[in-house]
Amino acid sequence: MFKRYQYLIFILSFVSLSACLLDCNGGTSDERVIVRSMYHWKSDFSLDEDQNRLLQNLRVEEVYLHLFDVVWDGEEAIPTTITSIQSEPEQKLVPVIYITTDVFTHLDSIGISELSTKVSQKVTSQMNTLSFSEIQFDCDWMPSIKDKYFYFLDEIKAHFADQSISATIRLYQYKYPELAGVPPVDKGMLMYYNMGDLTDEDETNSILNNQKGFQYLGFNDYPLPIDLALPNFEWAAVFRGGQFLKLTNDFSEQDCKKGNLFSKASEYYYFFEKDTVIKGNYYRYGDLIRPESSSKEDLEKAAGRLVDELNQDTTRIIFYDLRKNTIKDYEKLDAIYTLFE
Amino acid sequence: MLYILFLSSPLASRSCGWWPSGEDLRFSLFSSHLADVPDAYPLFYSTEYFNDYMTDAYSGPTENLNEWYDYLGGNVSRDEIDRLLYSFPIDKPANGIEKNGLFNYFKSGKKLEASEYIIFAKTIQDKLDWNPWADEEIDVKGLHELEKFGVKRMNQSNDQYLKLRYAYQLVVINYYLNESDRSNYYHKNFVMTNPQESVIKSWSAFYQANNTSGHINRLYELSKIFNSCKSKTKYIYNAFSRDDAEFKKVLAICKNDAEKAVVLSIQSFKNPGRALSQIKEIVTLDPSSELVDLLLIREINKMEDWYFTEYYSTYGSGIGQHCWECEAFKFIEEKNFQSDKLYLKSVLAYAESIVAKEPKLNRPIWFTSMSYMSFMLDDQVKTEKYSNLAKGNNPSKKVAAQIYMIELLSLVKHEDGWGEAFQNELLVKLNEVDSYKEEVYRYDRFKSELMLAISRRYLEKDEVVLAALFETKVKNEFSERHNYWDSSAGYKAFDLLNENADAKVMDEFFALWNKNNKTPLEKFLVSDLPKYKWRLTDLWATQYLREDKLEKALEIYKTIPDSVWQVHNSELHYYYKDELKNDPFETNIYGRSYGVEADYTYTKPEFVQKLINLKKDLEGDGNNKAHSAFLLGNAYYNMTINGNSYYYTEYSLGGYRKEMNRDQKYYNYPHRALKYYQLAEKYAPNDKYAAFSYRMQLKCMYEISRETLEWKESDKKNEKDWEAFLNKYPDDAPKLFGCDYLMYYTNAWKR
Repeated sequence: MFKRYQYLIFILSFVSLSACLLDCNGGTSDERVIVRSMYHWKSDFSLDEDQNRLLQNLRVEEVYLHLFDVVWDGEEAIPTTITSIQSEPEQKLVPVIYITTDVFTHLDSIGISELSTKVSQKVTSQMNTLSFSEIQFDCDWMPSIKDKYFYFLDEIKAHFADQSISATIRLYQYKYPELAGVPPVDKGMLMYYNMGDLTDEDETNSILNNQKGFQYLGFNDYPLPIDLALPNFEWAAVFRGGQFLKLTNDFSEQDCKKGNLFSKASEYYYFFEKDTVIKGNYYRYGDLIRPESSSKEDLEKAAGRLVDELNQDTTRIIFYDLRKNTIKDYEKLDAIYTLFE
Repeated sequence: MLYILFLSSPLASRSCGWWPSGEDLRFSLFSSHLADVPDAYPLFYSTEYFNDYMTDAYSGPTENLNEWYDYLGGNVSRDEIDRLLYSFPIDKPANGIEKNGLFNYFKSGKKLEASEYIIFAKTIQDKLDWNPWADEEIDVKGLHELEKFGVKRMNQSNDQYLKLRYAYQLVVINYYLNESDRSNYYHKNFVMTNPQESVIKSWSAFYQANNTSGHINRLYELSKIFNSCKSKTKYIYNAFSRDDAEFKKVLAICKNDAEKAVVLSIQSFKNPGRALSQIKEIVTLDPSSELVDLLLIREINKMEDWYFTEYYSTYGSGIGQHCWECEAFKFIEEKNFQSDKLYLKSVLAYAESIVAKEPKLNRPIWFTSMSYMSFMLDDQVKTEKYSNLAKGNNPSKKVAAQIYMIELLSLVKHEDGWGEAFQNELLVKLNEVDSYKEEVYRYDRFKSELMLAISRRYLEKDEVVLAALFETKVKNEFSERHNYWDSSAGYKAFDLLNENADAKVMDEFFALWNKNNKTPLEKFLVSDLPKYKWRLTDLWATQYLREDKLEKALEIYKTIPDSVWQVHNSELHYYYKDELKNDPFETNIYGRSYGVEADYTYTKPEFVQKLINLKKDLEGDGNNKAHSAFLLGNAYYNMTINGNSYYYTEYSLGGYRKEMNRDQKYYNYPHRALKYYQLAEKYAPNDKYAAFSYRMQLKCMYEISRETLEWKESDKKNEKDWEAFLNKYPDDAPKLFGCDYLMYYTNAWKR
């Protein structure tokens, strides 16, 4: 028969064991390691003083550096928007290569194999003396080219035996791994942004819309270790006559509030009060502009939910992307990183 | 990322992926190459990021081709020179090189030294072709060897034309080898000291400018070449950003007004909006600049796009976006149109004032521009005045061609009658248009737009027959009258008539077509019609059917061979056999029902004949009057937008564009069907059939109220109508809510 103290020990042991079991699923905050990271997607990698300071202050450990795109030029796959590397930052670099889907539409297995050789040579040549332990591929693959893209990833592994390979994962690929397929890589980078329909007038924020984003979460244990990419950029969608007209990059709600060019039309829209030229585009009186961004509040909500998706002890949390003016977002970015830690 | 770039690309014409778009629909009757500066074509106003209209026609810069043409004493055409210089790569000359005029010129032993130079230049080009995947992007070793060869030949040659070009190639080789000092050495000591006047000197200077240290200094040096060397404008344009601050910095180091004018011109070429204030500033700084002419023409092309494209195409401006929900945004379109008109007036007013003051302006171009702007503003007096002034100022061939077109457009726009004298004058002018083919920018498209402009002029005046006939001359796919099936001229005319003509107009159209003593212009206008005879005849009869003039409709339908109605391919642009397969007399209780394919397929004349017969039944004393009336109700209902046989009167499902002019009430609302269902109830032999007829009336009334009343009102009315039905036929109404008893009630007339 249990004595009272034995009973208490038993209860306490049970509670501890249960807590441990529960925590082992997601990892406790104490056990989880977050590697603060940042994408760099401009074609000139020359970090200025502000950017270097920002990376240091944010304790960013890794910079995912866009090296080049691979596109189909009508005849062959070629590298384009090749980044010129002018900086050697303190942070580790992870080269990222974006490949358009039509490359795989056009290439057969021999072509893909050749492409993997060319890409690996190009990466090695561009990184030159810079060391890297991971290489990432970004391709919005769909079922029709899945096999070819995955074959490419298989082939590329042979060229980078000392590096791990990662691939970006879109939300729908994450939610439907059986349908979309799982890339044969060491880990995935879940891109938690660009989740809405930019061209839809009823859209409120196509960059970060948690209402939509949450619909893709919590369905499964994705079969790859997952890092997380979050947005930190802004743009504006312009509509004319009820139809999407153009996207204006780096345009914020603050820009809409400056001067008397715009008036507030509704919760999400501003009205062009006069004809004007913005970033080389001519807009007319009556056009509507919907500025979109990733606010701290939305990112906090996202982080609160995305924490449950983490499935590895060491996870990269990465923001897209590092720009000249990212320094203004220090507080926001630090707060979001912290939420994961 | 590419997706985003595409969406944000300046001048990306439209977001919609479907045709037509961009240059397909941008309306322009003012020739972009009026200033006759062919190498500046990338800067022409265009929906493309850079205008590329010359791309297919030639590949090399005219500036260089002209020099080669002169050097060869005019013995080889520019096209042949162009092909050999720019189209045949040295490593794999394409098939056909043996037919090339310049190749054969050399082969015959003439100017062999020049042929050696061309091989040399092409070899350099080959060595500079970079492999984007390779570490070493160009063949450095090969280029060093070529440099040695080039130096030797440059020193050996006594031909200054070739010496200059060898020196230029040495500049190029060293530029790409990053040997800027050597590049500069060849430029200074061999290119610039050469006695020849040549664009090659500007090209060489272009490479030196690119080697200038400091971003702003480099832009400044490049800007100095922008005007002197049009073949490099695209590159220099791209070298500048859109940043105003950058332009200010470059302007600050300009040494004179002419240099400033060029920098401001580059900024103005980057302006997709209204650029009059920039043009004014440039004219003040350098009125003789050729760039001013290009900018003025560009500005007129912009105004045409804003002012005309929507009107002629109904697809919005080429650069921009059409308003698909036009009613909601109409006030915006109208306000912008009026604002554009004011702007057009201000550009014209400025041109008038500055031409009077500034003798250095290119007067033929400015007067022609002023004439065209006056034409756009419907000012006939000024149109003529300025075109006469342009003619009196020794215009170039291109300017003369534009003046001719303006006069033709003005003639049509301001002519009131259609008398024989006018027709003859118009025909003579139309026949002469082709003689300006070489002088008019994108002539084929231009000619179609010209014909469309004439067609619309008649449509504006409600002269639908002439509008349709001129529409047959719109030979390319421009205009809103394209459709999924076919965009040929005959069908554009068909669509125009379909949208605008009543039976009377169709009578007039066929009267003109069939008359014996046609004027020469009339003969010209109907010349493309014969192959569309049955399609147009069908439309003629159908217009009578739409107006419910059955006898006349039948008379015309009967002239069409029976084989036409059996067509079920695209031969006649209409799958008659397939489209008319439903039973138009079928009772249709729920929405649009395509029913089961009928056992018997009616042709249009058979259908109309049956309608006539049923109507005759109604006039008689027979026992089946209720049934006849009911069948007529069904037929008229099925010819509405919700029926199963709308193809009897329509050629596509759904509404038409906003400018649809003819009456379509018969199609949108079942008024005619309601009338016959009411008669069916009146003549019904029993309550069952009367109730059935009433049920069909309810359906018609509901659809009419849905179209004419606000939806809440419509629902209320519908509720009341059902109450009335229940009160009037309490036993039958519940059974007729759905289709369960359809067969029972359908046969009730027999009881």
